[in-house]
Amino acid sequence: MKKRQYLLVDDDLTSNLISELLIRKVDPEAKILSYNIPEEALADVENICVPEETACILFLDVNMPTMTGWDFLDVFEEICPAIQSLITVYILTSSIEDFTKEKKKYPGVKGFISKPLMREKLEMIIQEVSCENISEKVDF
Amino acid sequence: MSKEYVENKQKILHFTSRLTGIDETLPLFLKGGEIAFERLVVDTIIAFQELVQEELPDVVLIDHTPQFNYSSAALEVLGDQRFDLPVILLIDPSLEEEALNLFKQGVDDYIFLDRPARLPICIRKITKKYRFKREGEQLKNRLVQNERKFRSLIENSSDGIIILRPDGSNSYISPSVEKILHYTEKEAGKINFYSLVHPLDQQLVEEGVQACFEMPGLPLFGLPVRIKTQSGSYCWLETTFTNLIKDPAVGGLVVNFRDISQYKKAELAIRESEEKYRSFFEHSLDGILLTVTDGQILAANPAICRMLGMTEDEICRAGRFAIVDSGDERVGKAIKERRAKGHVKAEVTFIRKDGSKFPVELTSSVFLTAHGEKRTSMIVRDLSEKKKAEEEKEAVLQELRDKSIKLLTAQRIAKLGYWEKDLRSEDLYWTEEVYRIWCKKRSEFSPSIDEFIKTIHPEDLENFLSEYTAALAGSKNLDVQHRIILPNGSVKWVHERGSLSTSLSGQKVFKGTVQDITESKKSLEKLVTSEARVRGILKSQTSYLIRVDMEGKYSYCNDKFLKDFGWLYEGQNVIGQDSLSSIMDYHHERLAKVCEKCIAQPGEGFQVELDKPGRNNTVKTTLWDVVFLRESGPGGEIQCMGIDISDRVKVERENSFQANLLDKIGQAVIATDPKGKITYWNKAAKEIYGWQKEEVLGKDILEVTPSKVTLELGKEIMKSLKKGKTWTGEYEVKKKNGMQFPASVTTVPFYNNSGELKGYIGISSDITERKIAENKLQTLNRNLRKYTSELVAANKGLEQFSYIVSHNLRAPVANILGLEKLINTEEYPEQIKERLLQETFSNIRRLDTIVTDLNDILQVKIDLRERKEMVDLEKLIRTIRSGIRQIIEGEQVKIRTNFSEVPELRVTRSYLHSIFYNLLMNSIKYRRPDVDPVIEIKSQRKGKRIQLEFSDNGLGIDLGKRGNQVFGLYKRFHSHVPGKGMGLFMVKTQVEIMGGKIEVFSEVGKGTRFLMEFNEENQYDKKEDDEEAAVSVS
Repeated sequence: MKKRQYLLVDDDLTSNLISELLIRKVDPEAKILSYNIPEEALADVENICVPEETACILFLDVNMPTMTGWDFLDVFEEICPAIQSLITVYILTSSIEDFTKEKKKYPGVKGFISKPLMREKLEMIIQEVSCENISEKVDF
Repeated sequence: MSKEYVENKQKILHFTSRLTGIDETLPLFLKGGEIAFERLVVDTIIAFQELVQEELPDVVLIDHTPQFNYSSAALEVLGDQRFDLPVILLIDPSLEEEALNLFKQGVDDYIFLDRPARLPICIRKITKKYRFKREGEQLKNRLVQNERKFRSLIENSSDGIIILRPDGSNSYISPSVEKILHYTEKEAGKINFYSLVHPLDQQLVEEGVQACFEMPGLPLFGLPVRIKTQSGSYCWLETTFTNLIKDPAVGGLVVNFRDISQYKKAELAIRESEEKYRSFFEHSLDGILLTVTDGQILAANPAICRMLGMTEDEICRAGRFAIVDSGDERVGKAIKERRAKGHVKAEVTFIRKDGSKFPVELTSSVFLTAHGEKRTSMIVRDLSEKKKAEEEKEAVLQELRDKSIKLLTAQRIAKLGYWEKDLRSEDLYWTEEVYRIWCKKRSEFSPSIDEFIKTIHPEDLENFLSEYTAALAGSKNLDVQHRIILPNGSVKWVHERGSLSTSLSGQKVFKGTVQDITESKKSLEKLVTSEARVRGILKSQTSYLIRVDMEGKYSYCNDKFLKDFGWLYEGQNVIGQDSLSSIMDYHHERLAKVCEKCIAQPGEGFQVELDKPGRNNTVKTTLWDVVFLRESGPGGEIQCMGIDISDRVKVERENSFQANLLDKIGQAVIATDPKGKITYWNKAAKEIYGWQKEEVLGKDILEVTPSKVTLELGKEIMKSLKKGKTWTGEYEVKKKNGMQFPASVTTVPFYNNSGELKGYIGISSDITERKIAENKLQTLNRNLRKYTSELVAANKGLEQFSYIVSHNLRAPVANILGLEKLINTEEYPEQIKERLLQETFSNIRRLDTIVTDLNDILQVKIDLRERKEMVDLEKLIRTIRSGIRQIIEGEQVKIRTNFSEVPELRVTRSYLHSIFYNLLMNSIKYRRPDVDPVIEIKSQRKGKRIQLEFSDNGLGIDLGKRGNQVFGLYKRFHSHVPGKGMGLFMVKTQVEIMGGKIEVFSEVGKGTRFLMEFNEENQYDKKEDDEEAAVSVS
């Protein structure tokens, strides 16, 4: 099994807390970086070191005051395309909106997860990310 | 005395043997006998035959001896050749018996050869005998001619003549009857005149006949009578009745009737007869003078000219007195006798041109020419003529006279006068009839053209003269009807016909006939004035004519009635049938009432409309003139003259149906004539315009309906209508009371079947209500647009709401769900558990806040209808400042206001309060930490709009990417200070609800500026009422 590293970007502190606690329970070995200001997360992303044999998972919120999740992805794709392939992006949102349009626009997004993040879903994501050859996207 | 009479040489053909020697001695004896002769002698039968044919001898002498016995053969030759010649045999005395036998073969006489001295006497005797024989034949021819003349008059006359015996049977029926009434000869003989008379005219005929019986010989002229023709139809005839029962030549009642158009034919026939008569005159061997009783000689034939050795002109000029020996007392006697008896036969002495006298036998009689002239004729004959011949002539003349009387009768009945004008003088000759017509006496009036013209009615004179002149010029025959004025001043109508003709003597004579047609004219006038008869004539084809007896049964019906209603009765037998059975039951009572009235007032006409059964179960509506004729039929009859008015009734019913229909509709229907005069005004027109129909009929439409404002337009509409155009539109009109109101009008011209403009029809309706409704509708539409924009705004709010639900409301819920899961399923230390619990509570509060916010937002929407009021901007800001004074003072906020341009605004106070509060709080919240906040608020006018400008010197917003989200709910642009992202959402919502809009301008690090714009209506009170009205209508 590879080592996993999680990035949480959400202005909602409660949501980040829930995600962090769950990840620690399910994947105790994992490294977790939690941001509630997206700009800070972007600033760190450039310097993120993703060690060999390590899967990096990004849980990104959509609705944030200064920058939406989509804005974040735009900037992210622009500033560090190199790292992009190293990070698997999941949108984690409380919204029950239909994101069909965004799915098409951001094919790099691996999946859409409705809040709150649950154990079963997390385990599925881990399995997904672990199997390198699996290219199939997971829809929720 | 006889010497002169044996005028010519006798041509004697002598067939002789030359052996007797008589051929040589004969001339001596003939000369001795004073016979002038030319002798032709032949001795062979062949030569005899040739000479008979070539020479036409006067006398034939044939020798008859034992040696020369060819008499029989010679007589055969004569017989074969049909020569009726005097034949004398010169016989041997021994053959006397043979000679007597030859008398049978045509021998007239014989002498003995030995006594030739007797020959002259014999010749004379025999030639005279032959002469008389020839003359007798000529007279017979004359008689035949006269008979023919009379026949031609009667037969050519268009007048039908029936002579009725007193018992009513026919004694004579002229051929014209056949022509006029179309009966065949056979049928005509059997007809009963009285039965042919139309039932309506029978009374008239009866009265006429009665009058005739009372006045024998006096014709009763011009009775208009309908007579049944062979085809069963009746024709109108002018009938004349003359009672000539006592006249031996007639012996009956003469019924003379004519078809007036046939006059001409009869006149021509008479003229032809006259020509024949004259021809006879010219060629007669007797001396004939045509004279007038006063001694004037009108004509002399060639024979008398020869006798007197004078030309006809000379004789005429000389007159009777010059050719008759006045010294002979027998002359005066004879004239007296003729005057008394009408004819005379006397021996008188005549004088030749050379003065020598000679005795003649004069037969003179007063007779009438074919023209009806009263003339005298004088037949002059040598007295040496044998009595027998004279008697024969007399008999012939007597017959002539008789015929003349018949002619006279016929002419008198025809009232035909004859006149003649001598072209060399102005003199006119009139027959008695002409005098009678003119009511003048021959003794007192000598007709001339001048005198004649004076009698012509002035009104007819010009026409007569032009016709007369044309006829005199020979360009056409005279045929003219004109009036004459009688000595007593009364007026008669006469019909003149005449022509220019040349007599055999080459003399030009203008002659003609005249007929009194007053009676026929009068009777025609009578016909016209007699209403019943006029109807009978004029409407016989289209009207019904029936008569009903006192039992209600048909006694007469005309063809038209039979055609339309005959089918109701078996075998079309209407007569004698019940008249009520041809009338619909429901009209029986009506008819009974009318009949009652009729019978009460005989001769008075009443009208009644009756429905009668038509074919195929239809009903014919008929209109009848009913009159009771007391004298008609036994106990009187009801005569009904009717017409079929079904079509008229149908049209009337349709019209009334249409009129009724027009009264039922709610629109005013007004019709005018082409001049604009009102001809129709329906019930709705009365209700809409307030005028009664009677008040406006005949008035100019322009004076009635247009209001002052639209009068000119009204005139133009009329003009365009005249050109055939239809006008439709709205038009201000007025009521009778002057009240004006809008009307929707459609006006069209209308035409009759032949395309002639008959007027205009206008249909109008009061559209006051509609106008109000339209105004309301317009307001509503305006409001609708406004509400629509509000709805769009509200929709946006709904979108926001859905956004809130999906994002913001669900966010804390999702958190709570996640926390719950962690708490219940994972084992955590107490510290973490506490943290999870705190987070749970925090999210519950957050949820509550969002629910409260939603309530606020919904509240704004509900307050939509909150009343607007004038808000003093300065005061409003002051209130807000005092509310947040601590913050303002703590943050050192400076607020500068300038509301000088627009100090007040008509808005919802709470909204504007909220707007400024939120903006102020935002400015303070997002202030630049290093600079004291300065906030400027001002109002200004921008055209028709009011602007409120709010600016600060705060952090500013990066509008680059998310400028459109500035006013979104829960959109936040800063994360360094807490906020819900609801303030600007609320601001925008409230601005828009008040009809304004808001824009933001900002530069990061420099400050933010909000520009709000409101409509002018927010300042003035104007539109408020409209909206109020609109709301009340809706």
